[in-house]
Amino acid sequence: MLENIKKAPYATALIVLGTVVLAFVPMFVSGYIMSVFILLFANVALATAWSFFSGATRYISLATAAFFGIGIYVLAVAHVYVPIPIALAAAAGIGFLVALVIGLSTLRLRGVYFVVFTFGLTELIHQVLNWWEIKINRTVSRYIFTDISNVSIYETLLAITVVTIVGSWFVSRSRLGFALRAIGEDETVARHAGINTTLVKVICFALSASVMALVGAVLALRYPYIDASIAFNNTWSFQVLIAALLGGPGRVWGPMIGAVPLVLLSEFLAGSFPHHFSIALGLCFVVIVYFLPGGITRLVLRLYHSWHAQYMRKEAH
Amino acid sequence: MILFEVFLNGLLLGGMYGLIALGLNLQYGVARILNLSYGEFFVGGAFTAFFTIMLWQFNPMLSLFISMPIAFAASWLIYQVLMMPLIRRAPDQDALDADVVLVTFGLFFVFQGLALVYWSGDLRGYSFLARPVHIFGATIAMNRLLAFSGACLIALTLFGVLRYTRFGAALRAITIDPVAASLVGIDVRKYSAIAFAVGGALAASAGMLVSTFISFSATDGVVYTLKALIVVIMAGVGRVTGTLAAGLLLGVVESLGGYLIDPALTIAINFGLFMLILLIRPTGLFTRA
Amino acid sequence: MDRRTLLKGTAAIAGAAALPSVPAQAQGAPDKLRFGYAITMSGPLGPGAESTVVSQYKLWHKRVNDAGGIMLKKFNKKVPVDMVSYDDQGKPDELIKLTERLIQQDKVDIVLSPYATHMNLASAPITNKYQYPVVYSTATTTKTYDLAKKLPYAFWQIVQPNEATAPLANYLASLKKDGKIKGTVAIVHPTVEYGVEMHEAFLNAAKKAGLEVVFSKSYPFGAADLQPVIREAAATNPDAFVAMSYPPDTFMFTEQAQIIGFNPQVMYVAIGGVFPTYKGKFGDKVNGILAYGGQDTNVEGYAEYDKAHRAMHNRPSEAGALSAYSGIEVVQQAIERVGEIDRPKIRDEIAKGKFKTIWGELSYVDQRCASPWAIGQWQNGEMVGVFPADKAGAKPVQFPKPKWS
Repeated sequence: MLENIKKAPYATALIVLGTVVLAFVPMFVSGYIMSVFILLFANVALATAWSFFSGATRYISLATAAFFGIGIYVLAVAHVYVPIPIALAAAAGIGFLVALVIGLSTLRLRGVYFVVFTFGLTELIHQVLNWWEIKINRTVSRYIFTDISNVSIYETLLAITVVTIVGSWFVSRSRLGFALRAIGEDETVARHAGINTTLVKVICFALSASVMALVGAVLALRYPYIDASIAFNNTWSFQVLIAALLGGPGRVWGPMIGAVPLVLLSEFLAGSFPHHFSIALGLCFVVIVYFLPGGITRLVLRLYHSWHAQYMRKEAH
Repeated sequence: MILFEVFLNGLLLGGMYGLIALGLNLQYGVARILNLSYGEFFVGGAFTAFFTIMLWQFNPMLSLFISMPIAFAASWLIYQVLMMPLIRRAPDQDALDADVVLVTFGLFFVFQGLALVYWSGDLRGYSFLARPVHIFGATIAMNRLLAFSGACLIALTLFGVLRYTRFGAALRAITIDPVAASLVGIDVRKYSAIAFAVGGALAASAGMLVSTFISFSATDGVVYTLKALIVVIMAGVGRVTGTLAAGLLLGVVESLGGYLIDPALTIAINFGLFMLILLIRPTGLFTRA
Repeated sequence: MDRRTLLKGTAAIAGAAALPSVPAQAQGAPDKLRFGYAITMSGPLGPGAESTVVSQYKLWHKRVNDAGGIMLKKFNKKVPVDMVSYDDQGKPDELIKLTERLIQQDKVDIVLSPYATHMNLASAPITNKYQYPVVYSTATTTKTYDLAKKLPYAFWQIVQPNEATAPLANYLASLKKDGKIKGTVAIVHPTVEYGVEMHEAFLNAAKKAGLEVVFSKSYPFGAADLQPVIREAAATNPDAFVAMSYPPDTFMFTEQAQIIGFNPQVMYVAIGGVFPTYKGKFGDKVNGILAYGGQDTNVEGYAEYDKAHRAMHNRPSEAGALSAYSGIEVVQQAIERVGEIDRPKIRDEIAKGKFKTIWGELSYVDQRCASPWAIGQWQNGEMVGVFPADKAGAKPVQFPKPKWS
């Protein structure tokens, strides 16, 4: 771990500084701004977790909403019986296990088939859970009444987000990360090179899912009332996919760079053009794709390289 | 006897699924564009039909003469103006899919926003051919039968065109391998644009037919895009004629399953079947693996 | 001191002296009042929200400003209203954030209700935390009974599951006693909370009333074909068919019942049964159908409301929308009685006052609307209120539902 820090001292300092600053933000802002940050952290964490698997292996998953929903549900059920931290851990654990099972059974699916399959998963879980709740509990709703403050949720999500980004970064520089990328480049070649592609894919899919479930569980602390249609909302899957695509593939901080402007842009547009919000957002997407191929990451890197080149030239004189 | 009626209902439902998906399979299978705004053309067709009967008091089928050409032209323009630059610059199908998903998602937002502004989010419905048809003791709805017939007609026409015309042969060549097709002198761009445009027109026609028996609103687009996508994947991308068969299978299993097990599980059975088929045949029912 | 400063200073003093002295009353009078709401404008709940709530907010906004605004008697002037609105996209996260935005960022004076039970429930703790009185107009859940003490600023406008279903069960029992029906009922409900609670409530009421439930099944919201379900229900030959449905299924059940020739003597549909587009689709065939919600069109003020509604929305209003519109009327009247924007006082006024609205005379007991309309029926092409039968304006129930040819 120390070599990683030595290799990227600026990035490390930035992360530590950023985390500390953000941790103190709640003292200075209103509940609304905190809500914006909470959703921001949730989106960044989800997008990073998503990209950890899907960005590297090119297996585009739309199951984000499924695992997120599982997290919400586990919390709703468990918080009645166990303390909140245990309930959160249970959410992450169950998300991991479910993803393991799904991962093992979907090995042969590729490309758009995998994508649509994962989309179907969310709906299937939603419908089955609904049916189960009605049959067994004669109600579909669950109530979550806790005294957890907004600030605690904020700090917890901040922690999860930072750990996810940092963890993702460490993995990307490790052999596991190399294996993931090799699978993304050419899975057949990777297998022939001796990588246990099955194990790598399934473990990483499950890790990514457990983070998604955890984020769902934490957010659930804010809803007094949930049912399956609230918990399993496909919009999350699409939002995360869009954020990652906007940010651009290839870098760990790509999803973050995509998620932040997306959330802030939505917030700004909802405020200024509440009724024409859809139209404005759609036009933004189209514009971004045409003028920012490769996502925002590519733009940032290009700017950085041209700045760096100029700096080197100045130094040379 | 209820079982037989449930089976017939399943066939009609399946016909509807196939109908919704045919256009998308043309767009994705031939033109290789995963159009997330597909459902908006469906909704456009539904609204045109609604206004035709409720506002102007004409037979809603006449609305096809308005909605299909408009959908065709709009889709053709979208392909030439918005999609071509993306196709040109994409190094592979994955990269193209990523770009296309973002852009068509953006289009979906734009179209839905416009629909909401002009038509509001109200639920719409009208009565057209809401009459019973009796077949061997079972009763089915005439409007659903009409949609089913429409699905069969379109599927047959597409089959005929693809199998027996030079135009169809060109489309099949493009579906199999666009690069090879261009090497043998097929104008891939022109034919893809036409296929994409026809897909859009088919979406509008599906919207009109389905609107005769299901109420709809301006925000239904994405629901139908996803319904269509599921059937396309189940049939196999590019298997245009298999689309109807896949839809029928889905409809019958969903209907019978709901009746025999529990109606509350109909949607679960729908998705369950689709996912099961993918697990057994990962590239769709009718793709030669 | 240089010349420039002297000139500036003189100008300032002269200017101040030139200002007319402002009478003490108008001091502090706001130029505008800000009302705000976050509601579902897209997604599957969008249509219901538009028809039942958003259209009413827009109408009220226009009418109140056309009349000059809300009268604040403390300042002795009418103040026009600005509306701020957001789309919560059907997501509770968004609703929570947007409600906070309305309160803390936009600093609105009043927050209005969102749409759908779960969204109302998500919004209530927040508006309550910041002490904003809100009349929640689209929540039907037994939870509202517990919430009065916990959320003193939340008021619940519409009928709750047991009040909504007991009258129907009792009515069927009375028909059975008179020998007009055998007392058999078929119930269906969608697998959403509203459907489940209504179903449970009706089941209990039916049992108490001695009715025989011959069929009880659920279906997923969004199902594309309900004919198998209704066919099965019809096969049990029930006297009454009760569907705790949402708008798309309400429409679908009615059409499919007609197609298979199912003619129960009593037919009840839930949400959407009162929509003008429901009558638009089925025309005369709606007569005799019972639906969730009701109204009395003879109430004072209704005629002008109806005229304004048709002018703005090109269609008549629906009974469910009246609960939303009357909710704002209550808030407006409370503000006028208090005389200024003092939210704790406004809250108290709503809690104990009586209000004349287009939904009748309203008052709140334990923050729940006392005796709201529970069930309506289409009679001669009009939607009228039939239960509670002792409510002013209630019409007798037409029995049986005319047979569809």
